Amino acid sequence: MNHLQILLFYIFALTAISSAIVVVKDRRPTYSVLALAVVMLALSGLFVLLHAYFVAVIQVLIYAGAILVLFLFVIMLLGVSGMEKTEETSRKNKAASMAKIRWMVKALLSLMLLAELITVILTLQDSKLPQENFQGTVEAIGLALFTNYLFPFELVSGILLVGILGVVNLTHKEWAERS
Amino acid sequence: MIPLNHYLVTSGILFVIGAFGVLTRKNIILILLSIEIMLNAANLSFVAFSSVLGDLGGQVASLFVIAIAASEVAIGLAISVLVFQSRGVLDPNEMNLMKW
Repeated sequence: MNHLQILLFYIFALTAISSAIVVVKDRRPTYSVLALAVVMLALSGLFVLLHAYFVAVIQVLIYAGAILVLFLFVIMLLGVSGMEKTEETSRKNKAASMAKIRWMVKALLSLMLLAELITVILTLQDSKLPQENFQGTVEAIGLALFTNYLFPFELVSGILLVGILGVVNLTHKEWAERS
Repeated sequence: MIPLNHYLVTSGILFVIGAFGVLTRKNIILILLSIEIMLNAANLSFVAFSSVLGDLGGQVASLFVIAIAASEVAIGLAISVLVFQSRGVLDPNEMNLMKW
């Protein structure tokens, strides 16, 4: 049981990291979105290993189900070929040596951030996960959401409402002009 | 049992990959995708710390992050579609109408 958990952790973590690299490096936008779906599924596996069952289900439902479909929808709407072309031309515009130097500066900055994060993480005192008598079931999360975190919960629903109104106002031209 | 550090290092690596994507990609939609990776890395460390401290607040915070990410993606994609329709570009470097 214990060894199985460790094995599953490494499988999910390596899948998440390698597909995240595919998201960042692949030139074809549709492939990036599908690799991001793999990242989300691997992360929801990690959440299950942490006994956060409700968050894992919501991760699959909202992220892999709704947000990524929205991304795919917009990519198909704008046209995959045109999108690849814009990336090609903007690459050609710069001189090749200049582009390489810029890329290396960005990689160096990211590596510095990673080194800093890892040194901070290593100063924490270690503890083993997951703890046995602590589970994020639907019942526990629901109780927490509707008692201790009721006000932030309502604020989030307000933000979602503002988001819906903003998107409708942005994209629905005639409706916006009439009102 | 898996040490807390392993979860945090995984989350840190994912965050850095997302930050690198935001710095290097030339397409505003793929920059939004990289931001999603960064938000998910933050979610992972929220949930890991919630399990360490025995407090459900971390998991509730990650649910809030997911909700905010949904509205952020909706508005960001709507704005990028509008920019593409009016100017025909998706590269943030080309969106320099207000550049002095």
